[in-house]
Amino acid sequence: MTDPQLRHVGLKVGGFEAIDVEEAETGIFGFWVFLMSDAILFALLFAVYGTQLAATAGAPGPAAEFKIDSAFWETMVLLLSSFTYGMSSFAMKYGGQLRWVVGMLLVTLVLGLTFLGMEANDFAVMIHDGATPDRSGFLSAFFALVPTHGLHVVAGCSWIVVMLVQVAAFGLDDRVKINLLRLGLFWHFLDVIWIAIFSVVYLQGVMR
Amino acid sequence: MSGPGPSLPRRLARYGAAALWVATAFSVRPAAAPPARRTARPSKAEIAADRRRDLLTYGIGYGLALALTLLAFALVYWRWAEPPVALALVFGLGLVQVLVQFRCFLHIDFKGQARDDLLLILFSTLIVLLMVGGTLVVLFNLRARMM
Amino acid sequence: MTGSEIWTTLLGRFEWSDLPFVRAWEKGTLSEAIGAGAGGVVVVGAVLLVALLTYKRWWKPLWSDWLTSLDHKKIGIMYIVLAFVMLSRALIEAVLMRTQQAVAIGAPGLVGPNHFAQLFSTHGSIMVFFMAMPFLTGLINYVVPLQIGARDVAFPLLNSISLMLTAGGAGLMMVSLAIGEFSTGGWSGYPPYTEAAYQPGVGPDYWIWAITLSSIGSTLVGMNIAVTIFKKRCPGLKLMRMPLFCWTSLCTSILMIFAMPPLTVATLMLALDRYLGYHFFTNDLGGNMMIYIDLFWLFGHPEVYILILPAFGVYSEVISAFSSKELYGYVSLVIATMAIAVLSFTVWLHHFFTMGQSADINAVFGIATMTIGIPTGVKVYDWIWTMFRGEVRLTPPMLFSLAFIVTFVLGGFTGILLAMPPVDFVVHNTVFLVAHFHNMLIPGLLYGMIAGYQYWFPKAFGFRLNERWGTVSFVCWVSGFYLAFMPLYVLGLAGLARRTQEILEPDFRPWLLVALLGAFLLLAGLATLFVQLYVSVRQRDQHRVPVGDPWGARSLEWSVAAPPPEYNFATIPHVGRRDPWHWRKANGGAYKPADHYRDIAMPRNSMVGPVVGLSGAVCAFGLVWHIWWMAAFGLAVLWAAVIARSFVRRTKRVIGAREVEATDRAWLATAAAQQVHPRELETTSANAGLAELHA
Ligand code: HEM
Ligand SMILES: [Cu+2]
Repeated sequence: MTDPQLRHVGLKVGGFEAIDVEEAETGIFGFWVFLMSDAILFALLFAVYGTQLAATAGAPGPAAEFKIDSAFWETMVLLLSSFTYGMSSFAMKYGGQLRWVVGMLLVTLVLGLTFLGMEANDFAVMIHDGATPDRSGFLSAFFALVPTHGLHVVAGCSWIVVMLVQVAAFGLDDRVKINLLRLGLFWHFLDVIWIAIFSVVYLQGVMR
Repeated sequence: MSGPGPSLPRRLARYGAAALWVATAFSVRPAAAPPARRTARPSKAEIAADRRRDLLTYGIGYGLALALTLLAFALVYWRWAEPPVALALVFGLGLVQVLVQFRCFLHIDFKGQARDDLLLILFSTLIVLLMVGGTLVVLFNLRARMM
Repeated sequence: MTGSEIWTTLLGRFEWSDLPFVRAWEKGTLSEAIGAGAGGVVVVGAVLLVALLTYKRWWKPLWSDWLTSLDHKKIGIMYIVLAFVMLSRALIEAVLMRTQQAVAIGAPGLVGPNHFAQLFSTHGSIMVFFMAMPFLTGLINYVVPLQIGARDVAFPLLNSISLMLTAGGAGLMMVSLAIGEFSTGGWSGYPPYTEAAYQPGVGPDYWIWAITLSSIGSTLVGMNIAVTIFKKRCPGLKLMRMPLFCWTSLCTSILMIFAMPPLTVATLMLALDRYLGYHFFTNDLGGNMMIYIDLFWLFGHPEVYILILPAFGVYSEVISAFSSKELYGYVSLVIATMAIAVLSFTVWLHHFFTMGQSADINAVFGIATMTIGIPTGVKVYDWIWTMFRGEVRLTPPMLFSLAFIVTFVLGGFTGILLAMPPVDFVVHNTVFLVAHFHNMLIPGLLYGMIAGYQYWFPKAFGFRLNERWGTVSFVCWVSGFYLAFMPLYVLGLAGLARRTQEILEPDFRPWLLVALLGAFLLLAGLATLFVQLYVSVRQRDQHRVPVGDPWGARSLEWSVAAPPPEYNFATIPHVGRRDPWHWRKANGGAYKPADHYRDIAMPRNSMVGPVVGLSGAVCAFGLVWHIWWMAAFGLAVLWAAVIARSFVRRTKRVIGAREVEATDRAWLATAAAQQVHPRELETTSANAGLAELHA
């Protein structure tokens, strides 16, 4: 197998219903293309956020609403989840120890849910403070950008659940492996987006 | 808050970047990495070496990402620099971390399929720059002229 | 719960007066009657369709041979059928608008202002999203896998889902005729006018969700085609050996991948404004409508190249085939295509020169815009040189290509005029602009699509389209275009604003009458296309081309039977150069059996596509009418279908080597039994799809 990513899960080839390397490669490349299209979406949300930074219209602004410590812990949790997902792929590649693969997926899921819980709490506090999206252009931009990432994490968590069920049903067959690989790309990608969010939204926000 | 003067963060950033490049260079697989299509099954020793290297890649990736994150937050938390400088540093550190994660978690490099992915990512970057850059220029220009 | 609460829970904000029939009854104006008539056509049409399907017992074949099929050829054909249906509606609306303007000179005319505004909004939205996009996607879908020697696209199921999402959006457009009303905000839906403050009704919501469905479908299809071209080419088919249509398809799909997200972002932000009280584009509390304008045209300009590039590809194929020559300047055409694709991301601001940025910025974008003329000019020369000393035959596809070259260059000139900000300040928002973009889109898109449809039809169905009716249709389309749109240049310079329902200047009358005549001719152009189809189907036995190469063309799609087998190629071809089929014919490699045949695995049918499309449309309908249970239900079904699908393991069906071999040999026997036809007899029944070879 020529492909480093495919080597990362160690796909087997064979059987008629099985997936050949080419098909697997196509699947992964296709998913990259999807991620890039999604990246454009985020990039534009960031651009809008940037242009609306000053449009606070008398409503609470960034400095008042963003808490650096909660952003910090969210970052830690998400970063760790990225690592644990990596460990799951790692276990899958070498020997496919089901216990490790599933265990790390579960840890990732718990971390993902923790992240979502913390984020939901942030939003709840903001809304309680009266910093709601209908108050200003700035808050609108914030409540478009950050929850969009949050929704992606929700999607990622649901996907993990689906994959856990599939592992239970089929074991680690080729299709499960490819999907776990795609899910991995998705999950790491979400962490990459989060780097931009904590830099552009939170750190910039509390700096002012 | 006994933060040192604004020159420290700059120095830190410089050291950080240097360390990062060294580390990344080390984690890159040796050029003679696995032959294109294996005919025989890889030997036990080969697998063990691969395994170690992969684990190391993840480990280094996590370590670097963690360090870069901590640095960015510390910079802002302890106000090690004036806002404009701090902002530039935060963005710079973020960018470096993006590269690290692409390399270590998303396994992008210059070989095989990952090369196609890399080209795709570079093209996407170009489009993002055009769109985001253009949007910011146009809208800030409009804001300046209307407010 | 009171009665009205139950009503709102179940039916959202629907009221009886939302039905055009009720409105027409209550108000009794001509305008409302026309609206009710249109709604009636939709309802009666749907009923008749259901009756026909039931009477002929076509439900089952429709479902199992078409709707659930993952065959890229069938999906392509369904896209094109959809495009023709929507073209008919949008063209009728255009004629109605032209009629209105011709009669409403100092008089109210046929339709009221609100109704007129809905007409140009639906016409524009349909033409762009539900006629042009499906048409070109359909052609690409049908042709590209055949041209690159593949058995299917990279992701067959995704292909079906994309089609059905687009169809769902189109369905929503049709429903808006019969229930409620459509947006009056134009095809671009500019806020703040489309905000809840100014249009609280369902109109803009219909627009938002129909467009969103279609743009998601287009993004997915773009990914699919791009990955197909990158990963599924047959051995030896390097990128620089691909037919030009593949190149333009590749660039179009890349543009779709990167240019649809801005539209999705813009429409969804507008939805947030309207549904949740956000302030992206409102007049107050820090909203800024210019963000929308910027995002919309970040999509909008690449979009016009999404529309035009596939047509460029068609012309390249058609001109080369009907000149019996290889394409002149292949490399320059490829480079020009790529240049256009990248440049198209750098010019979006020319759509809002007049909206307040500094003169410097305008100048930069004006110059960038003009540079696009250069690669386009290169292409025009290449096409002309391809014809030079070729054995040119004026078949309908070729006629459309010639008309395109002349007309498109004309439109390009007016585009260069508009690229100068000072000129644009004078004529923007007049019908000069309307004339300009129709002058680009009708030759640069529609003619290309029609040419492609006529060119590849024999491949898809195994018989030629009647050339005489094709020529009649051509005459109507071209004369109609000139009559309908040249007057608008004059009127635009004279100051007639676009989107005007009533005209106050009597001197405009003669021009408007000419334009009306042109619109009728255009309608006749479409009608004759349908006549052509009907006549050709009736005469299909005289026009069969089973061998599959009716035009003596050069690329791989002509190397298989017409219609091709489900798996396209009995054995995957190997390619050593450009124009591989021509080379094989010239070197005695054509119509030969394979050394040995293998089993072929093809995707099984799946109902996930139709389910996703339908539930997406149901969700959208619920959102439009604030029927929240329905929206939630649609969304839930959609995701359930996708997740359930991921558990399906038997996704492929095997076609045995024996069967493949038998089919292939039968086709080869047909080929051996047919006479070679010379070029002159190409449009006669002598043409059985086995073309004479010229140097
Ligand atoms: C085939 C014959 C066609 C006729 C007779 C026609 C006629 C018209 C008319 C009368 C208008 C309204 C002009 C005004 O605002 O005063 C219009 C607008 C428009 N048309 Fe067409 N059209 C045709 C084809 C097309 C095609 C093929 C496309 C695109 C693929 C298209 C896209 C549009 C768009 C985008 C608008 C602007 C709608 C708006 O103002 O928001 N049209 N057309
Ligand atoms: Cu443009």
